[in-house]
Amino acid sequence: MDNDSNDATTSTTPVSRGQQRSAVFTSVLSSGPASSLATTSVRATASNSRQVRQNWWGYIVENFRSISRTSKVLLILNLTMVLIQVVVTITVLVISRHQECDKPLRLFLILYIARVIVACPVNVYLYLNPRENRRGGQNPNENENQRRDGWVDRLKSFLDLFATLWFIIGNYLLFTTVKCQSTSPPVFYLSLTWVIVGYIIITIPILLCLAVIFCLPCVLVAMRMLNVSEATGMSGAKDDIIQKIPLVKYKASVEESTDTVITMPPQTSSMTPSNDETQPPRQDQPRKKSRFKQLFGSNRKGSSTSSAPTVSPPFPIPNSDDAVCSICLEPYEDGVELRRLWCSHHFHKECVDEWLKLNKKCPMCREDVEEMAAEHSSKKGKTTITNTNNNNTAGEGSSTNTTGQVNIKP
Amino acid sequence: MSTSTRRGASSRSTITTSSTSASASSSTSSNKSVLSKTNATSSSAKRIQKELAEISLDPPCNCSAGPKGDNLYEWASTMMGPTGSPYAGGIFFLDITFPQDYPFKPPKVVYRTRIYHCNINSSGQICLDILKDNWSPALTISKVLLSICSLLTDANPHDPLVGSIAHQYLNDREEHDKIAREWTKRYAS
Repeated sequence: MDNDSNDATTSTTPVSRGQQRSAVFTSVLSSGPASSLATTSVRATASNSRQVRQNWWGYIVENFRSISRTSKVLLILNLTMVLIQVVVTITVLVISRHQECDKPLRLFLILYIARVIVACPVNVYLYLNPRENRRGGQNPNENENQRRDGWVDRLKSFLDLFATLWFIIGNYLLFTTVKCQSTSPPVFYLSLTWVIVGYIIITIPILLCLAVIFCLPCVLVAMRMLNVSEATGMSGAKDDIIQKIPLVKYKASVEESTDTVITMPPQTSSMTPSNDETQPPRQDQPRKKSRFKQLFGSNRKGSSTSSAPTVSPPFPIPNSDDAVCSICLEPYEDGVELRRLWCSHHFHKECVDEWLKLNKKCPMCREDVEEMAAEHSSKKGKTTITNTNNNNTAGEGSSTNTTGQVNIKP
Repeated sequence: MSTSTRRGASSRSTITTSSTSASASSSTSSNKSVLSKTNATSSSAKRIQKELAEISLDPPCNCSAGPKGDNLYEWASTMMGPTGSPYAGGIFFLDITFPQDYPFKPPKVVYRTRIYHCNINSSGQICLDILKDNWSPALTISKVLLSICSLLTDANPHDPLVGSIAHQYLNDREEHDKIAREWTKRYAS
């Protein structure tokens, strides 16, 4: 319910009778030596009340500076709401002065707005004196403070109770009225609006509950679909780290087991096609097939390399028993793209990427890929691993070169 | 013989799936999840076929395993109690269930035969790290079965599933072995 609504106008332009009352009321609340003066000022002269007002304005400004930002926003929002309510209601009441209504909806509106106006200073006080501050204890006139807080709390509870009651009465009046809708539409619709606002405020907690109940399963399903691992201790590597892992291109070794060098310098990458040509032809049928696969693979690769900056140098594996992806257990086809982790274990790019998204450990040695990446990048300055670095940096041009040649070759 | 025919069947099935996936990719991105699912299914089926060929060619000692029926993802396995352990002479049956995204998620292995062991509870659940957090796609089902077999010879009472048996294993090994032998005789032979 909008029992928290209150009046801003009172604080700025204390004019009417109600204002006078609230000014006195707030002056009771003001602290310091002036408060005793303020209590006596209930039957105050004009000059006296002016002094009280000044006092109380200073108090509000001072406290407003000290409260938190959220409180400030909420307070201003609250005061705006009150202002809107008061202006709209008074306008409607003035407009529909002479209109008839079979139920006392005008009275309902008048009391509603009176409640809002009375509740305003109470709410301002509560905002300006948060509970934790009020429990300070080192105040010299603590007794008086406590008494005042007690009164404010009691008044607040009374206003809340009244608001609830009035909300129910408003419902009753609206549902039982017959003619009011036609005889005095502004009053009827304004009452309806305030009652609906009350319903909205009541249903906000229910809506929040429903949101939690219905959205939580959706979030869980979404997490499942996005492959967020539910098991503890299993966490995937970040995408950018996976992309940093060097790519190599598998090439069936020319001579069995003669050279144990695994990576070749990038300069030779442009030479590979000629190497292929001079290679002794073994078994025509599978050769053709592998070429087809190579083409197919390079085509597929062409689409994927747009995101991956790394180049794939040829990567001969001397022992054919090792030329198997231990994730899918398929032997490597000629020219297929592999990822070679820094622990020198190699897999199909697609296979290991899928695994590393789930778990950042190397499938073979269980070494953490992210740690290896960090280690690798810290070593990067030194010349030991410049081989692969060269591939990464200098290969920009040659990568298109190699893939282009592969495409043309068959 | 049988494996080769199976392999032929699998390659045919993968071709059909790839064609369907191509059509799916050409349509829209809305069925991307469907596409990835079919890809995962075909790749896991391929890998399970490979493992089946491997395990029937070169079975690990004391173990055998194979699909129960037509479903490639549901396997049954038998395991001989290793000699030198209180389970010697028993034949234990296990159920293996491969998930759809198999090499990336561990298979579920469950004992169908009752066994008195501190890492295996009464419903047959096995407490083994490589079946949970320490799973790696480089492991195969024959390696998993070997690990389970070695778990029978060397229990791990410091990470037990049945606390009372682990306590007995540590404090009264003779009694533990006696009960284990009795259970093996009663349930597994």
